[in-house]
Amino acid sequence: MTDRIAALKSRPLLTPFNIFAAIILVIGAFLTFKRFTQGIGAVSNLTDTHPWGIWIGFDLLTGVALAAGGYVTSAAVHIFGKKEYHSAIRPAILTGFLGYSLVVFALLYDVGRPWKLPYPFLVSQGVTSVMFEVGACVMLYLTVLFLEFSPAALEWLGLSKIRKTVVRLTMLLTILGVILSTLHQSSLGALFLLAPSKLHPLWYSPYLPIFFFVSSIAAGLSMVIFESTMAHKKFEIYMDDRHKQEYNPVAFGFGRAAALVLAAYFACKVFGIALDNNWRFLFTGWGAWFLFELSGFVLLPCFMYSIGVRDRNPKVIRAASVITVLGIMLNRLNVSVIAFNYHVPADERYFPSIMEIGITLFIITIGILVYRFIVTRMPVLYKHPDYEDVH
Amino acid sequence: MGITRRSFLGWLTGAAGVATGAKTVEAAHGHFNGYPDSYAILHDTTLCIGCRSCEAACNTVNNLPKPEKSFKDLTVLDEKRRTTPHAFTVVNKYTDPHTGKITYRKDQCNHCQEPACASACFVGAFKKTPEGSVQYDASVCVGCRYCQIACPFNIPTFDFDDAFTPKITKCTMCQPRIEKGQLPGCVEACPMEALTFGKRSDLVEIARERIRKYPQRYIDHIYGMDEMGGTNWLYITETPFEQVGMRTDLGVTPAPEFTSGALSIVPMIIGLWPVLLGGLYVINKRRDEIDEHEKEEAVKTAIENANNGGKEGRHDR
Amino acid sequence: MNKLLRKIMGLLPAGLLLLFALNGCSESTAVQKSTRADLINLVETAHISNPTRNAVKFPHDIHVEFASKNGEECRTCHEYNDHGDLVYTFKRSTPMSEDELVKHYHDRCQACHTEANAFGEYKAPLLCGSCHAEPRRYESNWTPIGFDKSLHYLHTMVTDDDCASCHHVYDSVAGELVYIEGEESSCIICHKSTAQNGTPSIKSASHRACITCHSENSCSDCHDPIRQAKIEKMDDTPRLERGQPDFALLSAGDRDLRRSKLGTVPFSHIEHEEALGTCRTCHHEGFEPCQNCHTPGGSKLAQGVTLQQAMHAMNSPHSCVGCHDREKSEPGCSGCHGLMEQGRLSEHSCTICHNGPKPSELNAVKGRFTSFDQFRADTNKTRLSFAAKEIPEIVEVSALQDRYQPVKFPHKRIVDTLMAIISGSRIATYFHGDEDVVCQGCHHQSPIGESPPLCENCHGEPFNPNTKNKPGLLGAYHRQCTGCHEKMNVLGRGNDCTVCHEDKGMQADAGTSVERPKEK
Repeated sequence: MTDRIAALKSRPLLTPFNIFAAIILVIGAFLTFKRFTQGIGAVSNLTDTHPWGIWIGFDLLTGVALAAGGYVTSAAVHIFGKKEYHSAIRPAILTGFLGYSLVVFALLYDVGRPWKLPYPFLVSQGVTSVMFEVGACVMLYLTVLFLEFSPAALEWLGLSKIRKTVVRLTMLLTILGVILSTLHQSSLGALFLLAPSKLHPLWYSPYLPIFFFVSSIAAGLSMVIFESTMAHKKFEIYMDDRHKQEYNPVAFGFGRAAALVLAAYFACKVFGIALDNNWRFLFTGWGAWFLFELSGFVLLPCFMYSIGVRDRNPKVIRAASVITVLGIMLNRLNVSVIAFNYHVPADERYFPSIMEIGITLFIITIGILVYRFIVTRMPVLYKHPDYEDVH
Repeated sequence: MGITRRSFLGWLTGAAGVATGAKTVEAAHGHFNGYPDSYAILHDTTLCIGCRSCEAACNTVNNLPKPEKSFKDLTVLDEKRRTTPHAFTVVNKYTDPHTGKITYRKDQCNHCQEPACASACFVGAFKKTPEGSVQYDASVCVGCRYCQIACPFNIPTFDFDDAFTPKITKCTMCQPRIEKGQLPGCVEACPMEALTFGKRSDLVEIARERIRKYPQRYIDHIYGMDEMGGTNWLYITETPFEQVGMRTDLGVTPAPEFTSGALSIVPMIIGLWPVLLGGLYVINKRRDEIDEHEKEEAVKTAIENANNGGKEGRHDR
Repeated sequence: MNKLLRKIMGLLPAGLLLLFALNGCSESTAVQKSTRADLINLVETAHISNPTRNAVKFPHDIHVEFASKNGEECRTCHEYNDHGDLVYTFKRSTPMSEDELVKHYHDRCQACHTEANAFGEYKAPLLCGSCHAEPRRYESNWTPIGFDKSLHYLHTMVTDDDCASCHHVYDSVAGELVYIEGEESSCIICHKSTAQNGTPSIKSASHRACITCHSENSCSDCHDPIRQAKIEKMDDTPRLERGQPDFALLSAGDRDLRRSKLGTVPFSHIEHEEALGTCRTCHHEGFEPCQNCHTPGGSKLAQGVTLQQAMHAMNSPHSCVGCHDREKSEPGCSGCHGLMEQGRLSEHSCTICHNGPKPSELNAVKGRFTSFDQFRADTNKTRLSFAAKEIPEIVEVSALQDRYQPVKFPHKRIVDTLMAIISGSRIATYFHGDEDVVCQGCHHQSPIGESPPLCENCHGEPFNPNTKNKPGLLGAYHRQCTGCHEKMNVLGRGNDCTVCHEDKGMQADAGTSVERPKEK
């Protein structure tokens, strides 16, 4: 423990990453000012024909998918009883909580009148809309994640009585988390059901909600592996023994699960093509892109995970997790931006402006910085000595 | 005992049933044919001469800012335009690549009978009125632009350059004027009466009559009868619809039906998942308990055996 | 650091691919279609009854091009029969079962395609979907080519008036084709769409006859509509002499119809010959009397088309009324006729043609009527029953003036123009007889006279549910005027309003009646 605090105190300030992050923060602040004084059009390439861009495709859709580690891990440990992955819960919940918070933060940029975000729930309910369900579930789930994460913060702050009350809710919160996650992960896919004329037939399917839900499980599993790999590189000094011991077992266990889920996801995608007899589209340019996404980012990591688990090779598993994460990002971008509006001629297609990318980087950087702050101080990677019974 | 309690209750229920008239409740199988007597507009593109009087009228009636190029400037027709925050409607020129024949078509909100925008909006900012128009309420709009994603005709426009009060804009079918018995601005202005205003059922009759009278002039299809479940803006044309920028692959399913399936599963998940997950938890916990118990039993037996074996050993010596 | 570097390098191609996807992958799934005139539907030619895949549309010209480039000839794919004639099926002259046919095509096509691909420069399709393609890459624009007088004249010049080089009849006794002078007729009289009783189909016969000379031509040279349009048009062709009359009184031979009170139809055969491009328009199955097949009650020979329908059917390319109806879409005629309900005949229509002697009088008047001029209206007589000077020079249309000045409508000039067009057309002159029908072009739905009703007497406010199909006054004016202008190609599309009425100079973009003119 003293190592940890000593390490925290002795960190240099002017590391390359910190400088880079500072630059991005400054640029981000400037872009934020521009966004809220000159409008969305001033900082993005969004138009009436392309109303959704990477803020929705990446920040929102990919962000929510990758933050799925929270419910997957807590379900694995608390519901399926896999106590050997216990050390993975708090980092996963933290990633999830930060992920969802950043999603809401990004929404403040993307939505035209962010101060009216509470309106759907308080003033006028559009219950025919899938987005209403997404919004309600995300809001509730954010609360659930906040509560699930709060024990770590409360331990750090020394508020043991409140902490005890919250810890008692764990089982309920876990089940609620899985329900809410099922609902909103699938509903994010269901959003696009409303636009069959705009989304390419290879990506549009009545099964879209199922695709998004199943892939979110794979995303969560992979993100936990990826995040623990990163943490292990940078924050090993902040880890306790149990965390270090479970480092590889988590990779093997989650890797095996991810292999199975990716295989199931692949099968679902194939059935989705068969449903509407869309085989002929596989022989077009779009078909090649689709096959690239499916083979390179679903089938390949599935095999890699399997091989890694069979040969007890954590390196392959970690590589597979990176590919899966990229694949989820590719899939969400395909559905929302790339294969969307595929009828529009090439010279009118959407590409994000540098300022849009800037704001996205700004949001990601904030996320990394907050993550670093929490992980180096609060009992996420280590168990607080006063709370040995930590759940 | 003459009457048992059971039979008495039975008679009571029966009597109640008869007394309430035993009304049969009919199952409704949803197909919305529009509000009866709702208004609509028929656009006959064979009559449109591309004079843009409708655009000018719409601009005046809705107090929109005057555009850079005057409405009398017809060179704007050389480029394809779409609706913008200051143009609820546009006229586009379409030239047949083989024959050089020119067709003009006015584009605006089609006021669908089951609008995709109304289905998509999570604050309920869009409402289908009994008069036939689809109205938008900016006061609740959050600016999420899901309606733009949903609209199959790409009509709603958004103020991307407004930082403080951006809103969606689209044709309103001049609802305030209709309520006063006046005509929508564009309809009143059209010199060719290429736009006909009236009850939707009447307009369908008019369209059919025109097609019957001039079979060589019109394609035998009224666009908007069934597309996307039916719209309140109907089109008849001589040039194939695809050539005048109208998609013919939209199908006849109303937009809300695309997502109603996914939404209907939500209550199922809320009902089933707790039982499923809770059940899994209980099963796992029980199995762990049993494992634990068996482990303890095994340890106890081993110790007993060891003790017994020891005693015997001493006994032997 | 190594691992991080590798990760970044791994991300780079992914990023590049993303860029590629966003920019390059925006082709729509609508495959570019090209039109070809040489597509042969193999399911039809092979008579496959239950195809399991889409029919192959075989592009003949591409294969001919390949063949000629590689020193192959027709016999590479086609066999010759005992008479030395080319058999127009693919490498077969004997009947085969359907299964054999399917195998025959697949084996031979794929064998040749494989061989061609070995050359390297060709990309002949080998996958099932590439030939049985859906959506198909080629759209057929094959247009039949018919012999009209112009083409016929070109051929008579080339063959030096040797009719026997193409025309023949089949002598069943001698069992051979012979030429009989005076019995020349169109090929389709004997050669129908399918082979019958040993008579080859029109497709087979015409290709056999034409390709003998036109062996170097490809399918599209004759069957592509654009190339067809380029064939030289001979205007002044000599009359095809076959003993036909200049004039005839048409009547039905049926005994019952002889008691009819409706007059026979005086018919100027020579003028119709001059007006039409080919005899087949009317004599579509032969030169026998129409009623041999088109009986009054309808017979199987004529597929149930009765005599009445044969003469009067509006949609038929062969009937009198149908052809006359189509003439109404000529630019000079369509200004008025284009705005009228298509295919509508008034009750006066019958006697316009049926104004000859009654069938019962035919014997009595034999020989008296020898020329159509005896029935033609006097072209020197004025068409209008009231004097020309009573037609107003200018009519001021001011009923709706709002943003524009009243229209100064040049009434007399327009009437004069229409009269000039009519007198220049024989069919118009005949049909617009000596009635004032020309006024009805604009003064419709009302009796004719010197002072027809004003437009505003009938056309009032628009969108009245009781008069659903009648436009309001504004629409009526504009539809009538611009409709005529558009059809007759005068004054353009009508979107320059000032051509007809001056702008009053109101606020630049006032669109509706809510605007008031600027105070001068």
